[in-house]
Amino acid sequence: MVPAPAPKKGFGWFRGGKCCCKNIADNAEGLTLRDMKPGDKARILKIRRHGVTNRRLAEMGMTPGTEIKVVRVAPMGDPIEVSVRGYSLSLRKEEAAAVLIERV
Amino acid sequence: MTQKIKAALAGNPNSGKTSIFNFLTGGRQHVGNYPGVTVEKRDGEVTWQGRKVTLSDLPGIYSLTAYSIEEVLARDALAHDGFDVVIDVIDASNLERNLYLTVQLLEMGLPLVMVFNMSDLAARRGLKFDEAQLSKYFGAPIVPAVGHKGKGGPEILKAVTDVVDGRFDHERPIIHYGKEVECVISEITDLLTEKQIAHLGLPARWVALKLLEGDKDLRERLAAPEIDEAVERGARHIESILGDPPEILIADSRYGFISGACQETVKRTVEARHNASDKIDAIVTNRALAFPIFFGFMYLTFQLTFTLGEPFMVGIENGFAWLAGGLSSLWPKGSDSFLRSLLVDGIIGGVGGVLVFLPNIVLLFMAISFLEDSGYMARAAFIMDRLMHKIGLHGKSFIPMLIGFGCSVPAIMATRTLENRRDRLTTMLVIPLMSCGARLTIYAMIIPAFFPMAWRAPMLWIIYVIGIILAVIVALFLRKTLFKGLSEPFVMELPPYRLPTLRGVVVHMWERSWLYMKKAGTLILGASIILWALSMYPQKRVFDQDYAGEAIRARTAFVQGVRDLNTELGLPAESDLLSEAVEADLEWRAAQDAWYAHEKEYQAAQTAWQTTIDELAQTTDGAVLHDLRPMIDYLDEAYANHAEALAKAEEAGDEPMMVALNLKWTQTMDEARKTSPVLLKAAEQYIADYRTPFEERLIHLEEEKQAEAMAYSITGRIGQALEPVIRPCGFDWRIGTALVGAFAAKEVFVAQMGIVFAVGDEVEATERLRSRLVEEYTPLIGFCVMLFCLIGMPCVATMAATRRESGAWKWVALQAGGLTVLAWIVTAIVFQAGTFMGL
Repeated sequence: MVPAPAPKKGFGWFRGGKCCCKNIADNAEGLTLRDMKPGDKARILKIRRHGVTNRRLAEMGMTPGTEIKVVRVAPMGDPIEVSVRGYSLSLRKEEAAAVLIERV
Repeated sequence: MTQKIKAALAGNPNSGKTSIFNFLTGGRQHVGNYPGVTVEKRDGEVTWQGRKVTLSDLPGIYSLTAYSIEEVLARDALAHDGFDVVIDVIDASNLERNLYLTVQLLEMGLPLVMVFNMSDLAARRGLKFDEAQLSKYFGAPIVPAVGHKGKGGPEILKAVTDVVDGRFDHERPIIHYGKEVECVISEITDLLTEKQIAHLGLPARWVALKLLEGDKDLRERLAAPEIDEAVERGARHIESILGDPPEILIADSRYGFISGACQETVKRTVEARHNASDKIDAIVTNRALAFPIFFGFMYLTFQLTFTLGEPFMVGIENGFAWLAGGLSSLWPKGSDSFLRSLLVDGIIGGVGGVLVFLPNIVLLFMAISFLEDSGYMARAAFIMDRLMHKIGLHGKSFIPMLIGFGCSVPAIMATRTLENRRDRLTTMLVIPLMSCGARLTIYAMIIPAFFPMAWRAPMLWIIYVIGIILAVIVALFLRKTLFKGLSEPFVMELPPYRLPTLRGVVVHMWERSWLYMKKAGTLILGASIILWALSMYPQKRVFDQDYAGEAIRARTAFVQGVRDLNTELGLPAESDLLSEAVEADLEWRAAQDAWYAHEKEYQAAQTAWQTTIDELAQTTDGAVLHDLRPMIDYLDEAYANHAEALAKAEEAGDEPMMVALNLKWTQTMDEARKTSPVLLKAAEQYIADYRTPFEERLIHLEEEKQAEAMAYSITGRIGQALEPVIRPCGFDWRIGTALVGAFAAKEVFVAQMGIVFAVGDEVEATERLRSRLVEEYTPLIGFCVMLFCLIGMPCVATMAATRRESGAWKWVALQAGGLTVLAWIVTAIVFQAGTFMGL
């Protein structure tokens, strides 16, 4: 789990804490796309903050509720290829760790 | 009804947008660059029913959030270029993700035509579209097309005119983002209108959406703190209630709208899988086969670029040498004409220096276009990313870096395949550390001079490895300092494999080569002329030695020496017969040199020479002259033929042939000795003892004069001024001067060393230069020279390419300056440590 950001002034600091708790509640196993093996199918639950990656992933169609399938892992073990909305997308494992999922 | 229509082509990468553009415009297109960046800008024109339609091909993008430079450029063009209509090219076989951009284009409020490209492929995959219904959902006409087959052109243009003339009036959809988000959107929209903040000519709702999506570029341009505050507050509010940041929720709603629309209108008759692509990928990304296949492709690319380019390069070089020779001969030999030097050495040399890269660039871009258009490039990045990411680079950085071992110029141009600016700049900045082919000429000169046979290969290997290690260190350093922060996402589409079209590859190749000629070419040409001038001026008028006088003295000594042959030939000791004949020959040769300028005098000289020789032959001992001259000519020719045949046999490694040739030579000489022993001996003596030393002396004088002129020129003075600076690296002013010359091109270093060491700049001079280097320097200094040339001072062509591809001189300064400082530090450390250890 990403540590909560340092408290900011105002009520904003609370967001980090609350965000984390909600994640844990949603996804008790803490299962991420990173843990999937080729051939595994999964449904996206949530995308955690990871620089601009989460926005990029969402724009590419990896939105919560979408079903995805891990197609293969690159020969050196990273990155991975997933099938989403009928096309192939590759992403690094560190980015895949930001995608919380449940198995289908 | 407007006569002229201004249309933009927008679409995802790999949507086949460019093929639609190519067939719509035919050959009538113009390619350029967006100012300051390497993103290509294509404009074209087509006439439809008497109306001119101008088309702008925007960069391929997935979204309109300023994520990449392409997105910023496409968005700016859409907002400010006043397009009458946007043609949105959609890959029909990959509908949902392609429609994501369509939704954003709709939200921007631009009149839209949707082109379902590759509709044949979609049909083969069993996809059926209810186009009428989809068209209603998106409020825009839909035209099926097949770009690479040129199908659908008239239909697209008809739809364009329909939309522009208002003959299409479906209502445009408004996507609802849910109560909470809509609430914040209207708050921001109200604020934007209320405060009358100029929102860059864009719809307020769209601006509000982009700001909520966290668009930094737009935020900076608005520069309105109260809006920023409202956006931040809204975003926090949304996330606290809905648990997700607004950018995710917005993307989710858009995809929700798309999925909804597709569910009712798209029918899958077959289970859709990219079967062929999947099968290829199973092989190409296979654990065991991926790397052999990848390196096989890289090997082919390298071979195609450099081996196939080689004959063309040699052809260009020879062509320019011929041109220079032809032009040169318009001036009398040995004359110091400014114009001749400027034209021949400056301009022809400079233009040749630009064109010589062209075969490499054309072929490299052919290979790269093929790799990109086929879809393999994305797989190459996929399999190489793990390794490259470790040193802070991107999977796609590997190919440009590999090309760098051939030549930095095409390598830097190949960084265009990297989408992300940080990755592109880092790769570009370290490419000169990949030791290029031109630097090999320096190692090839130095290594054999200083190192015994057994050390030569390992030495070369060490130099290359040092370059690679330094590239890794510099890349990591740049990522930790200048380009720090989270690395850019690797989120990348792996498009289905496609057979590249010849047209696509050729268009790509042509465009990029032309851009090189236009931009990098002019810079290289200018720099070459400046460097030429630096090595030519100021010209030395008064030399330390009286070279002309020395030449005359050598000539007199030669003529005098020939007298010694008299006794050999049975002539009286005081006979002037031979020396007078030689004198006549020398004058004749001088007249030949002046041929072009003074034709009349040439004829007079020829007559005079013939008369003298005839008169000499008439004298009492004239018969000797009559026999000796053909003997000398015979010896010269026989020896030249023998030497040529021997060299050929040696090159072919044909040892028996070499033995046979030597045997034949001895036999020929023996025979000649039998028939006319006195004449042969005299002829041999003439050549070996008198003529050859005389000729060598003349050449040496010319070389010393060149060396003196070089030391006097600005280049030489820079070299001398640099001496205190490069002293810690073990270099003196002569190496400094050669290094300054190496700015023009790395291989010039060898030629410049030849000039400063007065051994000439001809190829045969290499051996003499090596022996001079060994006299002057230690092997440690030799190694330091190689090290410095490897790391420091990229050549002007590299700098021009960096300027072009990075878009700013500051990157050139950083690259050239940084690498030179690094070279100095590394070389100084090596030299000082080596000296300390007594090497």
